[in-house]
Amino acid sequence: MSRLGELTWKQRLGVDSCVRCGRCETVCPAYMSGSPLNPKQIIAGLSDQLRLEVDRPLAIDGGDVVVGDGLLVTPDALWGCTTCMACVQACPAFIEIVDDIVDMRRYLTLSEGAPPGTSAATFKNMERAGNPWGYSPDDRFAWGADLDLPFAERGQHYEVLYWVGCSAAYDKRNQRIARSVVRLLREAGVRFAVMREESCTCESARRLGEEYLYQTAAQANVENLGAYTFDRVVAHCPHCFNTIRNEYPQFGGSYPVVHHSQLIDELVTSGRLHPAGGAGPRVAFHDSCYLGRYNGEFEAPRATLRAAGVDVVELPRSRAEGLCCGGGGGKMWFEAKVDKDVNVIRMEEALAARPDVVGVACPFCLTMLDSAAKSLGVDDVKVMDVSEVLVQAIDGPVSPAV
Amino acid sequence: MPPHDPTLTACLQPTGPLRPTFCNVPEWAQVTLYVAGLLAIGIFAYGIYRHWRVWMAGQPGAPARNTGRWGERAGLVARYVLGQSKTLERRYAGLFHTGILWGFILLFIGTALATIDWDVFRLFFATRLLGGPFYLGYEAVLDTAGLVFTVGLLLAIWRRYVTAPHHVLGAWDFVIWSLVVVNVTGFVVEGLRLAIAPVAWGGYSWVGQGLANLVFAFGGAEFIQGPARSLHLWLWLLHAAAAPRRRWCSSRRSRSPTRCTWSRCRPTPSSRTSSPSEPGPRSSRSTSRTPSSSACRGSAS
Ligand code: HEM
Ligand code: SF4
Ligand code: SF4
Repeated sequence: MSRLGELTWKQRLGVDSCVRCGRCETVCPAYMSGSPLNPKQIIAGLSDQLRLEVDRPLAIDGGDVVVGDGLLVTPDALWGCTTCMACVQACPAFIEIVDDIVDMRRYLTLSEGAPPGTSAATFKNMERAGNPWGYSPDDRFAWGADLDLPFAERGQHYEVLYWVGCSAAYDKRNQRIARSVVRLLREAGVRFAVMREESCTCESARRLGEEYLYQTAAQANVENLGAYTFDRVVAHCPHCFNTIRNEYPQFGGSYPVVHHSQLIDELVTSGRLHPAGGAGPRVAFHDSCYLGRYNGEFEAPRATLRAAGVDVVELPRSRAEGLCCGGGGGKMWFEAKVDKDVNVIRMEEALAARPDVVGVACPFCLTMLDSAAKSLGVDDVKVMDVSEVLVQAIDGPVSPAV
Repeated sequence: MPPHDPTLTACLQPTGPLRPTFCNVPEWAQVTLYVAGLLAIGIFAYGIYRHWRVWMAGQPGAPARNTGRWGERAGLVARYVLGQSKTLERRYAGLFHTGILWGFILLFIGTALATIDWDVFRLFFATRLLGGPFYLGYEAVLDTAGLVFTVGLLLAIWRRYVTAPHHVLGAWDFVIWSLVVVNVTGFVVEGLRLAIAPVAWGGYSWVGQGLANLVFAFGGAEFIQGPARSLHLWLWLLHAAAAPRRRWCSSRRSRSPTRCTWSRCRPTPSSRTSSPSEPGPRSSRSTSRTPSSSACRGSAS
């Protein structure tokens, strides 16, 4: 979207109802970090523009181009958004700010051919190799080479299909999340499988406006998933989880989808998993936007931590008001100069709670907060996925992949 | 009180509690009110129509979550509009929003009942709605609503101009101040009315009666039947005229006819950028903003 004439009536109704309260501004991690993004300014600006344009014959020209350098909404502002939904959660007029921002990004990426920074290379990798880094698709399950992973077979029935996602498949640190999940599934005796054809959901490409890439990937993934029989999909990545759960039905792929923390919580409650108990570490829990605000799941990751005997420490901004790690919306894939990175702001907040561990439920959060810890020179506080904390409670530190 | 003065006869309640209508208001002012009222309704309707056009110029189609499920969505309206549960997520802001909203709703109902009483019950059924115990309850509820409304406005003003966190800048001042004027003049008009034509049940209009007592304390009969009456009339006119409006464009138009500039987006002193009463971001590092650049980042300035 680059002209207001392209907005649906629903989007226009939303933008027109902005009351300039600025709540979105107060919760926006991009704005906090000093990026040029101010959601209030975008929505209020569009709202003014709508009212100015309505007396002109819109049908003829669709309105002025409002997105571009020096125009009402600048690309730099749009690329600042982590799609964390904090603004939408805060907005008393229920304006779907993130959808509007992604709409304008789509214009920049697809019509202008101007995606941000190095993300064009990331798109290429996703397209060619099925992962954002461009690693070989053959290495997708290298993290479990010593684990004798069960690959899904046609005609077989599985309780869960474990969707690993690129981050835990290729990122050395995050491979330990996948290993923990497998460890827990085995411990509980869950009949599970991973899918050899698994490939990037291209969710971050979609948030960066690369809709075609996303749709092609979605079709392929839905087709592949359709070949197997399973009761549900489990994903430890909230971005994969959200995509498969809420977006794949539009592509014909409707399955029950759970986040690994939900499954673990269930397994503990039903007695299939029984952690030994005992005093766990002091864990400050950081909510994932895509699990929490997007899907309303705040309890399961905390329950997972408690199952590990953990004393869960709540951060000042948590649950629906949780602060983003800075990694959503495709922000993982390019750098932008700001005053202070969001992940550093968040990590400082977490450190102020004096935890032993910062608990996360998302591989991107893990990467972002880990890198913040490094840049802050902190090495006595670890960032760990909730499943890793639980595995540690069961049998000590998780061994890294071979 | 000369009983032959028809505008004063309207103030009297000789048969017991009965809402005095157009007390001390001459015919020309009454006619003006009806004409201006119709005009205001017309302007209001045009404003709605203009917004309607803004929306309807859009592309068709709405997300599934915005269609159907009428019962559930009506429940959301009740919760978020009437119950203000969204604004109440922040205590201070939620408090004054709820006060202003409910003050306004009750006063709106009150004004509507007054119109129905005078222009429907009296004209068409030759009876009155606002009399007896119902009228006394009506007075007590409306005085309370007006006070809640006024306190809400003062809290809002405190935040907008005194604590003034950066994010509330850019709102239009006229609405809030005109509402203060309407409420304050409303009470003064009521107080003067109760001074000009006291009634034994004035205590039900407890705020107005308080003001009337002040008038008695400081002004003699001469003052009450002279200047107080003119003041009552002029404030009545001001009260009716200060009907709030909403600005079409929140920002000043720049030279280019199709660009709005955000006139309030300017650097603010750092002491004003975060409100102590605002339970938003709590990490001190992230709330203190550097006042160096333009305070509203982005393209427009
Ligand atoms: C924005 C709309 C309005 C608001 C917020 C408002 C508010 C108030 C308030 C707070 C009072 C004090 C007494 C009470 O609460 O009963 C009052 C009294 C009064 N208002 Fe309004 N008002 C509004 C519109 C109007 C209009 C359009 C008229 C028509 C002329 C009107 C006529 C009066 C009169 C005559 C009184 C004195 C009542 C008495 O003597 O007891 N008001 N108003
Ligand atoms: S989604 Fe998050 S980063 Fe994007 S504008 Fe809203 S609050 Fe800011
Ligand atoms: S929170 Fe919503 S209504 Fe308030 S300024 Fe932001 S977009 Fe506008």
